[in-house]
Amino acid sequence: MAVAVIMPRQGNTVESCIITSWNKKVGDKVNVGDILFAYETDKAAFEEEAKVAGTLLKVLYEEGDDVPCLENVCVIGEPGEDPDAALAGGSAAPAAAGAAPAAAAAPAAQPAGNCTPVIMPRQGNTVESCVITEWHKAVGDTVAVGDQLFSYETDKAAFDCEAEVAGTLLAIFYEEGSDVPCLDNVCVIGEPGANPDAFRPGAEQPAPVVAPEAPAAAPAPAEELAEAPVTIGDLKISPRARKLAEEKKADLSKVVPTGPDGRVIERDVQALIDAGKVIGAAAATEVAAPAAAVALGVPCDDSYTEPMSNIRKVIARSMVASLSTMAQLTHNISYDATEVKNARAMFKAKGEPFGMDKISINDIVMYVVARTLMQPEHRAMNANLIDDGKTMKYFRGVNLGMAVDTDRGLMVPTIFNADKMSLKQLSDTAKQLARDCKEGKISPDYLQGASFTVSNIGSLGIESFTPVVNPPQTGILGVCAMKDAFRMVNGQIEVYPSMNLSLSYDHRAMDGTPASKFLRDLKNNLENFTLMLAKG
Amino acid sequence: MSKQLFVDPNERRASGYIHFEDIPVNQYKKTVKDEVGNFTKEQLVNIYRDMLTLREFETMINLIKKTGEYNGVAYNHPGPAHLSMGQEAAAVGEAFHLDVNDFIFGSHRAHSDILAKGLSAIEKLSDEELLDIMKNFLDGKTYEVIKDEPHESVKDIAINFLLYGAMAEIFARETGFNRGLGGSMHTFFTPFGIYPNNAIVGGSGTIAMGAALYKRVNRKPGIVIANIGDGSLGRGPVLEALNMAGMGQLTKLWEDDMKGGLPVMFNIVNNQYGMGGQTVGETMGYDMPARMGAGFNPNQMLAERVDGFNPLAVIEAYGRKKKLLLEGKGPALLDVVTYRFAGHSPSDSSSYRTKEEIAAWEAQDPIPEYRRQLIEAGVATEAECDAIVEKVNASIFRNFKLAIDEKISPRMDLAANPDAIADLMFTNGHVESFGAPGQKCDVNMTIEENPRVQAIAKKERWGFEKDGKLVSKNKVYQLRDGLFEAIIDRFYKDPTLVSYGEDVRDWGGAFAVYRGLTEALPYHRLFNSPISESAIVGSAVGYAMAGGRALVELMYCDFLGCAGDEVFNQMSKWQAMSADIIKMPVTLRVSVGSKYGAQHSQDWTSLTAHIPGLKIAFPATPYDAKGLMAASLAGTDPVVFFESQRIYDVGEQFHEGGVPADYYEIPFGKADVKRPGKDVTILTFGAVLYRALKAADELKDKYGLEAEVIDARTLVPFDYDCVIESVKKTGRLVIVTDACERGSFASEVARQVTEMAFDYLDAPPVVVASRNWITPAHELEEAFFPQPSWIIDAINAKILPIPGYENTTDQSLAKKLSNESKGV
Ligand SMILES: Cc1ncc(C[n+]2csc(CCOP(=O)(O)OP(=O)(O)O)c2C)c(N)n1
Ligand SMILES: [Mg+2]
Repeated sequence: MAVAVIMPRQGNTVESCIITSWNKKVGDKVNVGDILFAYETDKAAFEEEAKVAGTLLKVLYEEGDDVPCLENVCVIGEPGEDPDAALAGGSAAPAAAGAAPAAAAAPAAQPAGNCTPVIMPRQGNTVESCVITEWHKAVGDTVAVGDQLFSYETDKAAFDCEAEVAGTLLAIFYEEGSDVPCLDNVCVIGEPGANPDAFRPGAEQPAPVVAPEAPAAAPAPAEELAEAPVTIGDLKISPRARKLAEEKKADLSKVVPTGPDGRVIERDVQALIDAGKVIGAAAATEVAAPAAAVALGVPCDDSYTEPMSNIRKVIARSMVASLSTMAQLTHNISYDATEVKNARAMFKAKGEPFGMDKISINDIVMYVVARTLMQPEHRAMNANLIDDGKTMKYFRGVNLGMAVDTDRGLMVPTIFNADKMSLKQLSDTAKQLARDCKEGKISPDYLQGASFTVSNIGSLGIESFTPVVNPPQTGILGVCAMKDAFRMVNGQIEVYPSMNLSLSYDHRAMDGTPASKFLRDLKNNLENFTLMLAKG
Repeated sequence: MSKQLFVDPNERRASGYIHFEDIPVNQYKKTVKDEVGNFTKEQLVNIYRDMLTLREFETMINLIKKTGEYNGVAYNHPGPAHLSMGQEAAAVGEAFHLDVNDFIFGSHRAHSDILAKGLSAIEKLSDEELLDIMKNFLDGKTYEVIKDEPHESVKDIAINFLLYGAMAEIFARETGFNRGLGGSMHTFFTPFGIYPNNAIVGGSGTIAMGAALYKRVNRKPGIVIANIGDGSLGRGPVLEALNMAGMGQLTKLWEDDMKGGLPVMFNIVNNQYGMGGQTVGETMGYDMPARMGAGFNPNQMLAERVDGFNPLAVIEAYGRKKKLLLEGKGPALLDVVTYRFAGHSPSDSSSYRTKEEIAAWEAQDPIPEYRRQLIEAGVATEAECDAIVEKVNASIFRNFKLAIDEKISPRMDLAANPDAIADLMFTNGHVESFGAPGQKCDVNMTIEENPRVQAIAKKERWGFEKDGKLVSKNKVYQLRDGLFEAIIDRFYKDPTLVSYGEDVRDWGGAFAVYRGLTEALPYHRLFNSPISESAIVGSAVGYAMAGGRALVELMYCDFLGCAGDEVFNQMSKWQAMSADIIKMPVTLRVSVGSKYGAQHSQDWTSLTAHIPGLKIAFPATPYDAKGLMAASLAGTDPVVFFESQRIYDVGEQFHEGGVPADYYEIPFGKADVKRPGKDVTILTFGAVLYRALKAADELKDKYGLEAEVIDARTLVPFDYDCVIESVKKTGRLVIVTDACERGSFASEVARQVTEMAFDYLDAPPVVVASRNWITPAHELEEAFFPQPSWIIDAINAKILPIPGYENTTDQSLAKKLSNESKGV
């Protein structure tokens, strides 16, 4: 079928563009992606690529012509086809261009049949793009609702994308390993034979053809709209609906607007939430990577390569950056954990009615760390060294990073404003964040912004280690195992619980003495935990 | 109307002539020599001193305006300066016989009037009284500045106080008479009987008449003077005041010691010009302003022309007129011939008059002429006169330097105290009675004996029968009964309370709110005013300024424009312009019509809400009407109290247990949730409440939506808290008003709520208002005023599409844009 190519509208203020050169002439074969012609506005120059393959059947404007935006410029089709058929149906002949209504042109590539594009979801406000790690379906495969289409990850977390419509996978626009801008179309599902090209990223979206006499607000029935995903940038949404969506992490890409003039209103977001369409939900079922078994004792040159997962690449990058850009060193200290241990025992024994029986030693350490960091003399420890080491950014609250081990690797979610939390709040928050990380639900928004980090590998029995500072932070505290220690009291040997703390810090940000003082104060505070708790 | 006065057709149809008395013109011809025996030397000399003081004061301002300095001291005064050089004899002559019980109200050109009146008051007050006044005024701030200035007597201190207080006020200093909030055109000092001066030409006409009404009704000593220009006689409100001051009932119907025309003098400062318009021969037809008096009442307002270039002529006239006014023979009109030597203001190049004309008047300058007469009569020597000149000039110069000193005379510090003026906009007082101690309420019977009170006692105070049906109109306690109860209650508590308006007596008000008040009150507390909306409101303002409480009314909201200046500039502004020295306990009832077409059906609440300084109420239920009226009548602020003629007869449908018989108040600024709901908030103003409730019923019954209906009750102050709380819950707001949409207060609330609760809104707040048209005939009104269906249309089209609902009106953007492009 012959298809007309229009002059795109380059921005709202542009009325027309000048064709600067033709790269094809009538009769030439055209492949998808071939440059048809170049054109410019008074501000910038562009090239128009073919979106369909075929033969250039007709050219309506010559080089140097000033073409009103959305006007037909040329026609591509099968040799012998009547090019004017593509121009019929409303678009004015160029002779009458001056008087033609600007929006009457037919779109370049109408989706044939019923197609639904699948977008790359936006996982949190700060994420710009995601990398596709694996395709689970190939073009031509049939897809049922709920089938996994592809897996993808950000630099902080991994996710799966499930199909929300059934059909055939018609097109894949991005291969494994591609870094896909959020909200871009990734693939298209539809009826076999339908043309998915209109959804190819960068393709002109078919402009809705609005009959001029049509009543202004004739909302389409909800069922028809139900499956069409929404591009969030264009979303008309009420402030209240937006607020609710943000609070409940509703996935606005799936919203069906029912408000006046297609506005998304509160009830539409509520419908999403009720249907469980919230960001992060799809990633709940994660396939654990199978462990490769290698027979021991058999000489083996049988090896295989595997690309590093994105998350490992990120960890690798930041660890190397940390060790190569910073002057890092570690101090160790131990403290008498009697009070901490007793408190923990007490929470466990009597805390249940208060929901406080799960408060861990690590929660207690973090609670005390947050408060010790707030002592004004330790501000360099609760800071970021930014700007190529030229600027210190001090925080007026503690955003406490917390190292969490997950199947996918190390993750460091942040407990924001930890210094303002009660022990219970802090503990609850830490548990929630750890759970979200392990389940792959964590929003990337929580994987950033820390001013100091605590890493605890004490449960593995580690007695001392060198934690690596997360740039641009200036310090990280390693929490080690608790063990019995001995001391002489009045000539008697006394046993007491002791715990090691390993503090790595950036010598560029502070010297050894202040760092040592921080450790000393932390030790004192932990040994007087009850007082710290009372102080709040 | 009054049945006492028989309108006899034989008398009215009889033939005859109207006879006029001769109006004296400049009959007084004496000089100082002729009067020596009638005045003390001190009095005669002080007349000279006073005229000099006025002249030098104005000269000082003229010089700083024109040359930027006075006696070599630079100062820039950017504000207004309407100077009165040439008019000193008129001012000093007027003030001579006046004491602190006599009040003057003036114009934009009032410096000479206030100084002359102040100097006269100082002469008449004892040292103790003067010290008391000065020390207590503004916590002694003004007194502190001048108390140690050179003086030989307490009177000298008081003169410094007067000069300094006036100058500091003109220069907008916080130590000025009104903390610098009045300025040149509004400087006044009530302890000396100097009352507000008005920048609205003729504004003081109605106000002074109202102050005279206060003196009469409350048996206060003294007379009231309106100093207004020859140009101001062209203004309608002035003519209304001339008439109302001498309306027939004062002599025919008012009883006993209340009888007689009001003790008010319309003192026409006839300086021959408006700004540039010559009154005689160009803009007015009177030829002589004194002629005007002849038309207003049989005693011709005691009208007379006097020579305002001769202080003795004015003194003589005031001696006679004051006596007549105190005898109840007023009102009076005096045409005081004078001339202003300088321009209307310093920027005036006097292009409308010749140099020869100015020179001819200057040749007869009253000040050198009077000095000549003093010396000729042997009252003072040249040297004595020179000494007075020197003393006066030195005193003006000293006070000038104090008044422009930024440290001694700072301006209000609005940076340090940004709310300083905001806090003066309302006085927010609660005063049971403005009466003097022991002052009795003049009433004709006890409340219990009142026939209306007895009738109301039999009424059903709760609007529903046991079976849920509405109680019949004849049995139910109506909104008008609520108003009546609050009003009659205050009449028995505050002896100063008066009420008047058109057809309030006998008739009982056009809408029967006052039925029963006629029986309760003598004429002087409840009377029919002339059809003079400006005078009704303006006189109430004057009544309040003088110290009383007034309840006045406009029969229809549509007549608000007729009282525009009085509502918008007078009622609203004087508390703040006086730094709250003046209170404005005036309640203006305004009845909003329907059924009566384009000029009798308009809701103009928005116009009044736009004006800073007015409190605005619009109750919709008997309970609210009674409580808000009670609060208005116990307060100290000006209230415009709107009532809807659609609902004077509704019973109480919301306040469980019905309208309490006991006294209670409903505070301003508290909206009322008339029906709770969770899906959409409908905010209403006034009678439209009932249409909103109908819409709420339909939303619930047919579409399962629960509307929360909020009745604003007051527009100023407005209860945003209540609306925002509701919007937080519902996320949706429709605002309904009978006012035309464009510029309505509903639109104002929509904008404010959008700002204040943006994140809670699920749709923009939508206004459902009357069309931007004329109000058509009653039969067509449904196309004009908001209907219940319009409210649902608005919700469906703009807020929350309702499945299965079809709009009854065109809610499209295209329609709206087309209307707007047509200006409708
Ligand atoms: C209602 C109103 N209209 C117009 C003006 C502008 N205006 C200020 S003074 C003035 C002339 C007033 O003449 P007159 O009443 O004779 O007083 P005079 O200035 O002569 O003292 C005019 C027109 C005003 N202030 N108020
Ligand atoms: Mg004049």
